[in-house]
Amino acid sequence: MSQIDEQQLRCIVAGHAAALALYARQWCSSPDDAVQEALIELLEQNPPPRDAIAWLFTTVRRRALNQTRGEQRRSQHQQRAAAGREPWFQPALDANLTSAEVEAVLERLDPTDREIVVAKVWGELSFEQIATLVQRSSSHVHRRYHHALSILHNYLQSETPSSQQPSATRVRTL
Amino acid sequence: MSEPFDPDSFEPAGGPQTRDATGLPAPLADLQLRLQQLRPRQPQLDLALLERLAAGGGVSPPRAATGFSKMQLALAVAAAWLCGAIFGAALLLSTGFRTSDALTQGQLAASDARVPTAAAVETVPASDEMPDRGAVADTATPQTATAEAERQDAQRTKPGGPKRLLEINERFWESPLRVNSLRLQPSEQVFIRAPRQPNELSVASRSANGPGADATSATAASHSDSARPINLMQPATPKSRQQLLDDLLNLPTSDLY
Repeated sequence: MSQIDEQQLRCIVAGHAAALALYARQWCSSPDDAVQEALIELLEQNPPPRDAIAWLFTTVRRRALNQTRGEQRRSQHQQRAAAGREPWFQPALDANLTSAEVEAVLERLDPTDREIVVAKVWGELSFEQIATLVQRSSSHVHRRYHHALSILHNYLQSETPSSQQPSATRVRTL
Repeated sequence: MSEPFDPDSFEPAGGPQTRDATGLPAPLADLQLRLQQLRPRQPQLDLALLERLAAGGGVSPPRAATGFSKMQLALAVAAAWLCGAIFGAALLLSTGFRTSDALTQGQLAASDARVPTAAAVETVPASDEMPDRGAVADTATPQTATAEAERQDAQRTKPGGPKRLLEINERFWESPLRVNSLRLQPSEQVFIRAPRQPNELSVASRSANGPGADATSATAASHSDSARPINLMQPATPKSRQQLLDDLLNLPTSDLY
C-alpha cells in the first residue's frame, strides 16, 4: 500500500492544518511544531492510517502534551511565551463574534469540554471520532458537547451586556 | 488490512447543520454556526519539507550529490582503522620477539662463559659409571647395601638413572638458561668417582655438594682404606625415583646461579 502523496498532503494541510493547530494550542504554546511533526509522522506511515484526520488529531494531541511537559519544566519561559502568544483565530469578517471573545469563553471551559468543542466545531470530526480521541463513549461525548455549547452560550449572552455595561458606565461617568 | 487513503473521504458531506448537530436546539445550533465562521489561524509549516517527504526524496541530500553514501564512507573508514590496527599489532609483536630473542642469546652467552669449578670437574655423570659401580657394589659391605638397593631400583625402573632425570628436566623446563645452569651445578644425582683417593679429597667433594652428603660421612670415613669406589653422594635413606624427581624440580631458582 502506497504512502500519502503530495496531492493528498496539500489537501490535508489546506483543509485541516488550521484546526489541528487550534487543537494543539490548547496544550502547548507552539502548536505549529506539533502539527508539523504530526504531518511528518503521517508521511512516514506505511501503510497510511485508515482515518488519517482522526489519526492526525490523536498525534497532534500527543505531541502537544509532550511539548507541555517540556514547557512545564521551563515555567518562566512558558509564562513569557503565554504573555506574548498569538491569537487563536483569524480576525472575524463580521462583528458577530470576535476572536478575543471566543478565546475567553473557550478558556473558561473544562479542558475536556474545550477539546470536544474544538474537535467538533473546527476539526469537523464526528462524535465517534471524538470519542476515540478522548477515550470516552460516543454518547458521553455528545452530552458533553451539548453541555459545553450551553455554557458557551450563557457566557456569550452574559458577557455581551456585561462588556457593554462598563463602557456605558464609563461613558456616563465621563 | 487498511483501506487506501482517500483525502476526499475526509471532507464532511454537507454543511454543519446537516451533520451531528442536527439534534441541537436552535440557540445552540446558531452558536455552533457562528463559531464555525471563525477561522483558526493557519499554522506556519515547512511545506517544502513535507512535499519532499511525500515525494519520497527524504530529508537527506540525494546520493548522487555526495558521490558516496554515508554507509559506504563509514565502511571505508572502519576498514582503514581495522587494517591499521592489525598492521600495528603485527609490528609490535615482531619487535617484541626480536628483543626477547636477543636478550636470551646474550644471557646464554654469558652463562656459557662460566668456568666450571674443581668439584664440577671431578664430578662425572653417574650414567657413565653405572655399569662399573654396579659390578663393584656386588662385593660391597653391608653399609653400602642400602645405596646398592637404591641404585638397582633406579636401574630397574629407569634405564640411565639420574641422567634420565636430567633429560626429563630438560624436556620439562623449556628455558635453555635453566637447563644450562643445571648442567653446571653439582647435584645429588651426580656421582663422584673416588678410586683410591685420600679422604681429604672425598670430604672436600662431599662438603661442596651440600648437606645431603653429610649422612654418608661416617661410611666414607670407615671405609676410606677400602679399594672399592665409594659413592660419597649417596643419601642415607634411599629415595625413590619420584622423590628424586621432586627434589630436582623443586630446586630454587636462586641456587642455579
